[in-house]
Amino acid sequence: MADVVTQPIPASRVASPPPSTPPMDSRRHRYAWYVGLGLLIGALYVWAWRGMEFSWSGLARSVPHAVDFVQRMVPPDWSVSGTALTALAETIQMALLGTTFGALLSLPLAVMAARNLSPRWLTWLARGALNVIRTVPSVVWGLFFVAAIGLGPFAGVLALSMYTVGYLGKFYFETFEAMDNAAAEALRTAGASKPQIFQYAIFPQALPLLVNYTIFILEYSIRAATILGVVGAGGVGYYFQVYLRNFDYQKAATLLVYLLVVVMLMDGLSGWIRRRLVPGR
Amino acid sequence: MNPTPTISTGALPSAANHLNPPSPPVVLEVDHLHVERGGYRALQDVSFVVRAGEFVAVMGRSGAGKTTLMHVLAGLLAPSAGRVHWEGACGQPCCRRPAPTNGQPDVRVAVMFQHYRLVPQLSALANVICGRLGAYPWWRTAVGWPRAEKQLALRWLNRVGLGERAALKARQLSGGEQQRVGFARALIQEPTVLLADEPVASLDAETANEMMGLLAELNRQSGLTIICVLHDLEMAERYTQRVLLLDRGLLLHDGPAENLAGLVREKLQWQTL
Repeated sequence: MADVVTQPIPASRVASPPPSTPPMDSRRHRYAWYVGLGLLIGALYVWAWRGMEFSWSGLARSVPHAVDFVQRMVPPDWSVSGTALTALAETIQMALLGTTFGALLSLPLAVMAARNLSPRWLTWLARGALNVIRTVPSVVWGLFFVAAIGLGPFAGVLALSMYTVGYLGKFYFETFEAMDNAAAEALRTAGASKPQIFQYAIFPQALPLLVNYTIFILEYSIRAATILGVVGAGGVGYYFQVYLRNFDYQKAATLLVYLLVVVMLMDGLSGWIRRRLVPGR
Repeated sequence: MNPTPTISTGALPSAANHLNPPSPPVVLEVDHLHVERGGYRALQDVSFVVRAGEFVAVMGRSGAGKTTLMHVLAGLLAPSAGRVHWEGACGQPCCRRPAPTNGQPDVRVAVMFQHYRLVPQLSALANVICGRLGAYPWWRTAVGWPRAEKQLALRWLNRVGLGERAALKARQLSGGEQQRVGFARALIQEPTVLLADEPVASLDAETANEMMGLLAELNRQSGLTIICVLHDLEMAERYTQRVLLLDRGLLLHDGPAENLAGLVREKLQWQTL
C-alpha cells in the first residue's frame, strides 16, 4: 500500500461561508436595468408605429378595393393547369437545390463563426460575411445572378443558395454555440482534438436542430422561389407576374391554388420528418 | 500574498526530498491550491500529494469543494492560486501523451464525471469508443473506427455488464447504465490515474459494489491510481486506502480510510455525509 502523506491543518483556519443573497445594491442595479430596458423597448415601438403612418380611415377605404381584387380571381381558370404544374415543378427543383447548396455552404461557415469552435478573429470574419450575405434580399440576389448568368432557373438556384447561406449560417452557428458543453469537455479530457470534439460531441447533439432549421428554410425557399420568378429566375413566379400584368386574375388564382397545395404538402412532409428526427417532438 | 497559479508537469525536484526511496513515486502534487468562483472561495489552501497506486477517496458534504477539486485536477478549471503538478510528459490529462523515457512515472489521466457527460445521440458503444479519440489524429477518426477499437469498446461494455445494450443510444439508457458507460469510456483510455467524481452515485447498492470492486481490482492488479469522490463511508473504508475530507473548501483531514464515521463526527459534527 502506498505511503500516506498527511498534511497538518492549522487549527486557526476557519472556512468562510458562501454569500447567501446578492447585496441590496446589486438588486437595485438589476431592477434599474430592467426598467431602463423596458422603457427602451417601449420607445422603439412608439417610433415604429409613428413611422408606419397608420390610419384607420385609410384601412377602411381600402376594403372595397381588396374585395374587388379577390372577386376578379374567382373562379380560378383551370385551363392553365398544365403550365402551372410545370412551373411549380421548376420552383420546387429550384428550392430543393438552392437549399441544399446553401446548407452545404452554411456548415463550414457556421463552424468558423461559432465562438466555441473557432478563434475569435475567424468568428468575426465569418459573421461579417454572413451579415453581408443576409443583408441582400433574395430578389436582389436574383437580379444579380440573372444579370450575371442570364434568365432561367439556374440563376434562381444560385440566388436561393446565397439567401439560404445568410440565414442557415446564422442558425447553425447559434445552434453550435448553444449546445451543452459537458460532453465536449469529457472528450477533451480524453485527449480529443477540436475537429474530433465537433464531429463526436457538438455535431450529433446539434443535428436534430440543424435538420429542423434546414426544413424550415426549404419551406421558405419554395415561397422565395416564387418571388424570384418575377425577376426572370424561372419557376411559377414568372407566369404569376405575366398573368397579373395582363389582368388574368383567374389564371393567377389557379397558380395560387396549386402553390397553396404544394406548401401544405410540404408542411405535412416537414412535420413528419421532424417527428422522426427531432426527439421529444 | 498567494503564489502564482500554475498547472505544471515535468520533473519534480522538490518531491524527492520528502519521499523515502522505496515509496512509490509521486504522480500528483497539489500545493496551496485556492479556487474562487463568483466571489465564493470553493477551495482554500489545499495541499496534498498522491503516489502511484494509491486509491484515494475525496469526501465531504455537498458544496465542500469536491467536484471543484476534481475539475481543477482534470484541467477543466484553472486555480486562482497555488499549483497542481502532474508528473509526466503532458500538461493536460489525456491518453495521447508518450510514455516517459527518463524514469518519470507514466501518467495518463482519465476522468469519470458526476453527470456522465455522454453524447445522448450516440450509441453506448460509440460513447465508449470516444474515450479513444486522443489516441488518433482527427483524420483517422473522421470516417470511422478501426475494428480493434470497436472490439475493445465492446469488451469494456461487457465488463460493466452492458454488452447487450451496446447499440442503444445513450439517451435510451437509465441513469445507472449511463454511469457504467462513463466507467467504460474512462477505463478504455488505459489510464494510469483515474479521476472519478461520484462514480457510483446513480447505481443500486449491488451494482455500486460491483463497480467499486472493479476499480479496486484494477488498483490492485494494474496499479491504477484512483482519486474518487465518494459519499458512502462504508464503501470508502472497504475499497480505498486514504481519505481527503473537505469542508467548505478546506482540507480538514488527509489520512487512512479507517474509522471514518468517528472522523466525520469529530471533524464535521455530522452523522453522515
